[in-house]
Amino acid sequence: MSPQHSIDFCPLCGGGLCGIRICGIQRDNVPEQDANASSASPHGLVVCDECDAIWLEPDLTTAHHYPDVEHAKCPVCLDALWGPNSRWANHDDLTRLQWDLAINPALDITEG
Amino acid sequence: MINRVNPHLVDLTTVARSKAASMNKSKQKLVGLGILLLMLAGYTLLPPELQQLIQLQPDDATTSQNNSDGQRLNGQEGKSQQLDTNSKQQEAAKSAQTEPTVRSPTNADIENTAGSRAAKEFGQNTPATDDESRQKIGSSQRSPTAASKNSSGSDQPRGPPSNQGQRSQSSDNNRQSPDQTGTLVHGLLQEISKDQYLSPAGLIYGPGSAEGHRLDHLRRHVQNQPKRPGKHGVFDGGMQGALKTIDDAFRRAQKEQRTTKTIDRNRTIYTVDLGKRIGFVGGQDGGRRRNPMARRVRLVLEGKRVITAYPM
Repeated sequence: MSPQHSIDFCPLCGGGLCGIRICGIQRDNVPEQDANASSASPHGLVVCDECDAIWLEPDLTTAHHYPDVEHAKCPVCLDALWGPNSRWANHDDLTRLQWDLAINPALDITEG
Repeated sequence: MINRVNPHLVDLTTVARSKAASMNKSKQKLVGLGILLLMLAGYTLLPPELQQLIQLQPDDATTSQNNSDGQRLNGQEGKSQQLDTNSKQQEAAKSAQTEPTVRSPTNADIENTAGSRAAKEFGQNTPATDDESRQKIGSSQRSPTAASKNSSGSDQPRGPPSNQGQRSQSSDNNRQSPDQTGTLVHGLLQEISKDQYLSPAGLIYGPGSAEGHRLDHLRRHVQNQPKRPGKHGVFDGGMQGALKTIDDAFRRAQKEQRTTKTIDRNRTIYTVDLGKRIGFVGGQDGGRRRNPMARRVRLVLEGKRVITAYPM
């Protein structure tokens, strides 16, 4: 459950990777009436994989958020942070989010 | 003349009577000697342990106060007591022969007293003195510095980190599952409500994190991830070792012992130096440095709820 692409180590807990996460990925498959409930399109988050701290931009000097301990939600769409509507961003997601230049390739984790 | 008794005849009868009396006396003496000989033979036939027990009947206090007095007692009064016990034993044997189904109280007394004495002499006193002597030896031979060196040094890393990984895995395998213990998870945690686990130090592990539960997140830190960028702290001792170390760190943090504390909103981040090896630094950075040992714990809490914890 580690991020594939990260921008840096967590300045708060010190041990986590601040990985890029894409949220709202199921919007295309959701029926219209449900889609109206949340108008958020796929959006990016920076999340520490140790302490769950969240940044809304790929810049760790901006304000961070702490989600609820047990029921962590995305600050943008309020969906479950770790639910099926979001995932650690892959390279295509980075391109889609236009955050591909923000990552530090040295922190990439290739599974397997 | 007819009624007159012949004095010679009288003399003859008295002589015969006196001779019979003397014969009886000698017989009695012989019988007495025979009994004594039988007792002595019985005593010599007794096992040496029972002989010692019979000899040790005089009061222990007097023997401990003065050995020579005790030896004298063993030599004089002791003999009479030996005879007494022997006669008791013989009586008991006789009664046992005559009443095989009824247990002789005298015999039982002997057995009980002998048993209790034997227990005192061989069973109870010996381990106590051994323990005392061990403690004395331990305290005299081990200096405080040596003890402290030993306590901290025994956990120091030896051998390659791969051995440490195996060590943590094996201890992880030995951990008690909830089914085995009935109530405790990993031998430590008490389930206070659904998916909520309370540690002995008062920390709570509940749902959360990318893994779904904080315990599953913690499990990441009981095995190395060599490919993970940066450092990856790994606890010694599997899950149980990790939980114990975290509790220890939290107790020290509460006492502010070797602790740095940062508060950010509703979160508290402790870094606690435990003064001994509690794991090692893994990951890519740790691997480059040949996995140095870790003595500190980073503990991220929200109240008493654990967010994450790892060695560093």
